[in-house]
Amino acid sequence: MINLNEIPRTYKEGIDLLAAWHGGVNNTTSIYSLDDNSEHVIRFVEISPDFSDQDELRPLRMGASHDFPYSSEVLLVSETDWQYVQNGRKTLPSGWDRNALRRIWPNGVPS
Amino acid sequence: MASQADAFLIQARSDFRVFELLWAQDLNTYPECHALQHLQMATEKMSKAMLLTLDPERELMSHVAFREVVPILNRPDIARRLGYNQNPKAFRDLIDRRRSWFRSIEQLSPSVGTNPHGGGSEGPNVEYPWQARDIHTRVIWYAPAEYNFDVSKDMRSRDGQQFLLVIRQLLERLPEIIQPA
Repeated sequence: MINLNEIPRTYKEGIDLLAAWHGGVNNTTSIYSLDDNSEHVIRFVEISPDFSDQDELRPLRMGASHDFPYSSEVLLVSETDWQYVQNGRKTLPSGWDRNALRRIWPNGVPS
Repeated sequence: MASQADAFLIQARSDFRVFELLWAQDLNTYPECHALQHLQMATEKMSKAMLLTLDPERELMSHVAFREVVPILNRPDIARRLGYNQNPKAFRDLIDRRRSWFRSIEQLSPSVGTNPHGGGSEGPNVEYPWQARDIHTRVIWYAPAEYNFDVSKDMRSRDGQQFLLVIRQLLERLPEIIQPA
């Protein structure tokens, strides 16, 4: 069980906590992590029917803070856009390797 | 030549770019108040651009504007223009759930207080120090640079990320999303 009020102490805890924050509110969101080997930036691709279609997929970036000591880059992707990504009609941002995505929500993270 | 609405939109886009730049920094080094100040300014000017698009004669006297665009945004055609093609209700639900954020972001400005009858803020704001009681009921001064704003935590949430994306989309495509009657 993840305590959503705790400050994460490790990169993995940071990933698990942010996934629980973003995925926990409903069961329509799938979250993939693009792990950063230097363990500074938590990168998520989040897919949901609740998200809007976009011309260009660009992440929302936020720096580390006192209660979340990792930078985050979150890409919100509609189900339609995710199909386009999978069939090559749209691309992930530069440097984001689709083959390196690791599914972490709803499977893989204890709720 | 740019109209007044165009000019507000140009400035709002610039404010938002600075917000995104500051928001991506280490917020322990560059405190969140600075990024949030630019978010407040961007949303205020974006809202004024929207209001002027719909009524070029409208007088814009105060910093209160963001809350006034809620009824403009909360329409199925706007939802679809924002990209909620498959599920416009999801946009309505987001706005309904987070209606209070429009006001919270406005109130980051020291010129917008929490008093419903108007007046400036005498409490937390992103620009000037304020006095308040600590947990021991002592009156002390707070500096925005050392204060943790609820808005900051809200914007890291799933809805917060969507909210910021809506603002980014509005800024980038306002003329096609909001059209005069």
